[in-house]
Amino acid sequence: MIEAILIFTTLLMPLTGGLVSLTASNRATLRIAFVFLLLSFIAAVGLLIYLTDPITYQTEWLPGVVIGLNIDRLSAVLLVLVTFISSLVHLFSGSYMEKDPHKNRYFAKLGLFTFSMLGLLIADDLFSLFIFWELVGVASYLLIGFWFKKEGIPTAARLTFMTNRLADVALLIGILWVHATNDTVLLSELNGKWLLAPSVLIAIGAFGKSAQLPFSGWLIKAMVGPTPVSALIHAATMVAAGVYLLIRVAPFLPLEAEWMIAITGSVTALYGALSAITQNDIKKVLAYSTISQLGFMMAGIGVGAAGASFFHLWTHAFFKAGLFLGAGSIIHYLHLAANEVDAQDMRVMGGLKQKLPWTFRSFLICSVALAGLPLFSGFLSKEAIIVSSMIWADEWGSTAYLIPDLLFFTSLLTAFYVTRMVLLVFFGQSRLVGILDHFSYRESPRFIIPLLILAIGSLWFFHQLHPIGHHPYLMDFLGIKIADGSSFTKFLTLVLSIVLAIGGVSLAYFLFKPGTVFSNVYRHSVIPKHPLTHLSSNGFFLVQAYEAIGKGFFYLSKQVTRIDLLAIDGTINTLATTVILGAKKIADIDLKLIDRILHSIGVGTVILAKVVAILDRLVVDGLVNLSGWLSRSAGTLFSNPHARGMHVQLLWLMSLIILILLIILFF
Amino acid sequence: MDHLLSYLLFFPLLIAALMLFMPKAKEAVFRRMALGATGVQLALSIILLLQFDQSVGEVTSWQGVFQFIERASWIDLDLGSLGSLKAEYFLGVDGISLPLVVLSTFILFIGVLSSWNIKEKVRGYFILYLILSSSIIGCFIALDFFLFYIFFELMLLPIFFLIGIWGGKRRSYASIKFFLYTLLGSLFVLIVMIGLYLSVVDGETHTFSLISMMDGEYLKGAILDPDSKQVVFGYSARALAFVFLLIGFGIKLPAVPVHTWLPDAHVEAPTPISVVLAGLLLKVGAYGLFRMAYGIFPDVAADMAPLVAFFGVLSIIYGGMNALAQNDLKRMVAYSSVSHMGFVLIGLASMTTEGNNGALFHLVSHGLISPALFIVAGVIYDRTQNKEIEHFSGLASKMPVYTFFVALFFFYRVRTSGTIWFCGRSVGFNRRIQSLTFIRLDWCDSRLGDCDFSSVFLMDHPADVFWNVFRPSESMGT
Repeated sequence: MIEAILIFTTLLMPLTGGLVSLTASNRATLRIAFVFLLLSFIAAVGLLIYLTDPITYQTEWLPGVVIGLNIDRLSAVLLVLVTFISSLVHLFSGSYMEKDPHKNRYFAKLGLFTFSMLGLLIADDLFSLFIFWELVGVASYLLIGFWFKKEGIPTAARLTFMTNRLADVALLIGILWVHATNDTVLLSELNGKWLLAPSVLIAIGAFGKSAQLPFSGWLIKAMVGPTPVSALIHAATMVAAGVYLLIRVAPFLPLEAEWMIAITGSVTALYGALSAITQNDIKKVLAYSTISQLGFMMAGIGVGAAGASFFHLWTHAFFKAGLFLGAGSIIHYLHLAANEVDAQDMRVMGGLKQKLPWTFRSFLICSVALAGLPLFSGFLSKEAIIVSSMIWADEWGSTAYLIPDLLFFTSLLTAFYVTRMVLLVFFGQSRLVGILDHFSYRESPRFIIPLLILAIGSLWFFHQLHPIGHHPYLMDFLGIKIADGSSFTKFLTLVLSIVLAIGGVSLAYFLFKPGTVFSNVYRHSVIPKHPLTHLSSNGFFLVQAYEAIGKGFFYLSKQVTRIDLLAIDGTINTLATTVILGAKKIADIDLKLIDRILHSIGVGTVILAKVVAILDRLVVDGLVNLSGWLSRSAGTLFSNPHARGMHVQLLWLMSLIILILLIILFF
Repeated sequence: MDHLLSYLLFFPLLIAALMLFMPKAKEAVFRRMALGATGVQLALSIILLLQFDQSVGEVTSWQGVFQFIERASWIDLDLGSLGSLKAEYFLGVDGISLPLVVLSTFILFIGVLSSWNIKEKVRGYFILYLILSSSIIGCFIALDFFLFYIFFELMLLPIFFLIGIWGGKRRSYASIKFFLYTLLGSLFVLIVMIGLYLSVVDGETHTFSLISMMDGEYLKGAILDPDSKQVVFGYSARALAFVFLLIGFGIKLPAVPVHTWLPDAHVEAPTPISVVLAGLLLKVGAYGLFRMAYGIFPDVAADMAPLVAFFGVLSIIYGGMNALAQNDLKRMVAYSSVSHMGFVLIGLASMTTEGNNGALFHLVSHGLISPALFIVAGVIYDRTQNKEIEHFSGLASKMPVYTFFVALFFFYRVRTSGTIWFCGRSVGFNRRIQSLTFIRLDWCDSRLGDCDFSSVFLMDHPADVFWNVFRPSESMGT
């Protein structure tokens, strides 16, 4: 009973809070949303404490398809993490979005987003997981497109959604395939290895949400959303979903799929780091660093160290949320102080240490954690992944060392770009000469509190007592051993990690410390020109490639429509016209031939009649006239006997009588 | 309630007849009467739903499947040496037709509501509308092929006039196109109907009863008797009959490549008629495939599954790509309907319980969402007389509530999970994965694309129309 109440509180409070804040007045909306989230967080903590055995609940959704929820310690920990980060983001947003007229909508969307992520975490079967998975996509679309009136933002939101959808299709097919071959999709009941194809499909789905290559582009485009949202997306929700899914299904993945995940992860890690080093936009640096860190997690899963990946997910959530909220604080300040400049551009920053002291402190701590220096949380988890990959490579031999090598190199780059970012933002003189001097500003407590909490969460003791060992509280709690292997490998990795991190930091320091050539270059807003930097600063043209594909597909569709209009509709219309034309022709024939014949017949008849009439007049009439004339002549002849000779008269008479006799005889 | 189906069938006709004798001028009365008539229909169909016995026992023949059966002798003509013509008034519903009946009454009710703004020739409009509503219901509940055919044909008439009189600019082109297309389809169905009548017997006499047809009570040696293996023009008679039904109902569905009447009809039709077209007319085609093509010719259907599935896939991709390229809101939704009906074809082609369930579910959900989208498009069109996507931008700032619903419907349409589509799709999908034997893998791959297609074109819409800065176009004057 208590379990049910706790689960429902955790799950539904963010959604309820969102709905309530939608109807609340603009002023009250922050408090409402925050309080509801806090309740959810408290319930999640309660659940974590209360939880002894996994809580499961199952029901038959469709005939033969069982769905259910399952809360074990892993999901409970993540429930706490998500509600925790989300609460802080809510608190932060209260100040960040203060001037925005659509706060209600913002918090409603934020609530939906959190709810979707929580649902994803408690789902036991892959179907309901997929449902929440897609809901996360929708919520992110809505949040990224929050300022939809600005040019380019709807497009960016759409690109995010589409990229995710593309991967989701693979995921869905994978899930259905698993269901078809195993007759269940309950993660708690599945066992044995899956076939390769569905595993790869599911991995591709996870790559989509977790911004692995080739889907990384959306995460950069998603930077147009409000910065607190970025913090939420990058720290605990959305991008964590893919990693979470793969951690869950890791036991079922066949070897080839693990290899694929390891390679993709490590290459993505490198890709993110390479792109981050030349970015000028502070949010883009952070976004690329997220891609890179997610690559680490993926690589960890691929080398069979899902526990280490989970630990990295956990520590990363704190420092990345801290970094994004810190960036939010900086952007907020610059936006107020110097409205006309691009508030995210590091080229206009510099010397913010004095202006934003609290932001600086927390940002510095989180940055160092990201850079992976000892005594900070990032070091612990990242090192655990690298150690695991080393141990794994030891087993597999030569080629497999590619993965730890990539990760080592990425560590170096990470330390480099993080240091560069911190130096450019906080140190030296402000590059906005004269603008910031007269602007008095104090960081709001709503900024400082979350930032400080997250900064503390980025220190080593919050996660494990020993500054360099591999026994975090979290892993003990979950009962997972991480980085378990030969002590030589461990030692080697430890030394290398520390050396590389320090090396990266020093390199960046010497290049970008105030007064050096490179830091001066930024004063004049000039990007060092070189084909390689061009490639890197554009993120290897990944987004452009998406756009090209999209345009190509759109063009293709236009052509298909033309075919539809010309070929299919054309055929139909031609057919119709032909029929009509045929009918007209027939009508024509009717008119010309049959009519004419009839006409001719008519005319002929008339002519015939005329001829007959003439004949009538000539022959019949003639005969009648002739006989009349004959009788008249005969009469005249005979009535005048004395006129001619008698014998002639007799002759006439005789011949007449013979004629009459002949007529009588023959007729 | 006895004769529930008859009430359902004839009530609108009765009201239509009543309207005929009323003075033309009382426009408001006609509206309310039509609303009442469809409202009663909706209520009746809900009663039907509640009284329907859902417990499925062991079924050996189609005889026991149907409920609410009404059967009466209707036409009984002695044709001398040609035999006799015997058609029955035979109604009944089963699990396939029931959801479609309920869907129909609901959509017809909504259709009347969205006809509220019709100002021209109101009486004629609603009389035709009510005739249409009767004939659609008739199609779904008729169990006599002859009766079905009559309703099937009767449906064309009101639609023809409704588009031809109350339609848009190219209404006469669209209505004639629609009419000829579907009439052509009907002819194919007619041929099969005659063949079936000559082949199927109920006891001694020939019959049009669909139940006898589905149970396969053939006259020995008749043309469509599966055992006699009759051949027509070198093709198996049964295969030919199946293909004819496929063409006949495929036009109504519509499947590529016989789909081009749909976009034109949708674009030119007034909004409520678009609603009925998308929501119900397409379903009649699908229902015909369910009941006749697959119910009567399952043996042929099994052989032809790859063909049907191929046309399904073709419709999905081709329709999706077309929808993406459209500028006209209504045209876009119409093409997306073509795309979605492809799923139904695939579900049918699987010939499994899950596949058919998925197809049916898809029909119902599509029947709810397409009308919603047409109403959404109609809202803009009614106010601006313009439905070109590129003429609009940033409507969200002017119409926030409307935008909320639009977004909701469009997400339904792209089948984002958690929405009704998801269920329908995944069931159909599942089947497809399992029936890889006859739906080959490459089709699976091509299907990969489809889901994104639908996403692409639909997301295209809200992004361009609703987000961005509000840019009033010339036509947005009012």
